[in-house]
Amino acid sequence: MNSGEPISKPDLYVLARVIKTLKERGRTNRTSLATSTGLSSDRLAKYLVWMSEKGLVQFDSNHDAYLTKLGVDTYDELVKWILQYVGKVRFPKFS
Amino acid sequence: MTEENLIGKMTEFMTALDQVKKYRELANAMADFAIIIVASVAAFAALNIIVNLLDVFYGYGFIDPGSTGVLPFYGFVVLFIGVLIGIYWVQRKMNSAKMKQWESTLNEGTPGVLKLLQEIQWEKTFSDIRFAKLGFVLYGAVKIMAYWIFAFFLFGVLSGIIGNILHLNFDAISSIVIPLVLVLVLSMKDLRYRYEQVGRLDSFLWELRWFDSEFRRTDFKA
Repeated sequence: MNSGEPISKPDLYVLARVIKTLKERGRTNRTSLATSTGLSSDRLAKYLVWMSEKGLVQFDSNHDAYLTKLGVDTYDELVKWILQYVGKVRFPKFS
Repeated sequence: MTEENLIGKMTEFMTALDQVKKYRELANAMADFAIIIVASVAAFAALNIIVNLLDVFYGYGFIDPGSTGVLPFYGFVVLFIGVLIGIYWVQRKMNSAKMKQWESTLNEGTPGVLKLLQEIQWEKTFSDIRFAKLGFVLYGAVKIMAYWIFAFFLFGVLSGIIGNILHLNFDAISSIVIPLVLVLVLSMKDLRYRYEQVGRLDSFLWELRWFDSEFRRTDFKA
């Protein structure tokens, strides 16, 4: 299932895409998840292993992935984290 | 604070960056504008030389015997067309800036926001804002100068007509200062607008510098 080096520092964009897809779809099989996130199955597998180690996803008996409560909270935290910075920036209204 | 808030804020962010892109194009077009104005002044000078040469070869008052207002009138038309072409060229360049290319990425939601933030080349953005500010100010100055040259010739034509009718003469200083004052008064709104936009670009630059140092150097801990 997993080939090559494991992920040490995940790309936040990819991570957010995987979590968002799982959040919207619920239990999802790997093929469908790879298609929706636009990741190769190899890369997706690495991300799923990393996320599983962090407790963000779990797998059922069919090996379908689903988001844990921590996974859902992490996504919300991610949104808050970006907003914490982007929200403070005052953008000029160019007329 | 929801994902919708984030998308809304990011839309503001990217729209402001788009505007910088537009002003950057303006800065690029400013050199073209100056060349067009210089070319129209050169065309006027060439026209002047040609008319004088024709006068030498074919006798005084070749184009319109007895009329002294002909040359200033041609000059006025040449400069008027030059200024119009210059402004049109700058507008065309500004409108050629590709806007809202980020929209489809932003439609992805939070992942799209992250992708956009990751892809922003900060140093280039800072340099673009500085360049846009410079271009914005210089374009305003060159435009006022172009209007001034145009107004100078228009004033020459009008003062010639008024002088003939009312027997009034304007000295050389008045012929330079009066058009300049008129152009400055008529451009007051544009000057104020430029001053405000430069201030906005300045504050945007500082906001982005803060964002760059705060956001980029922190790590999200999953």
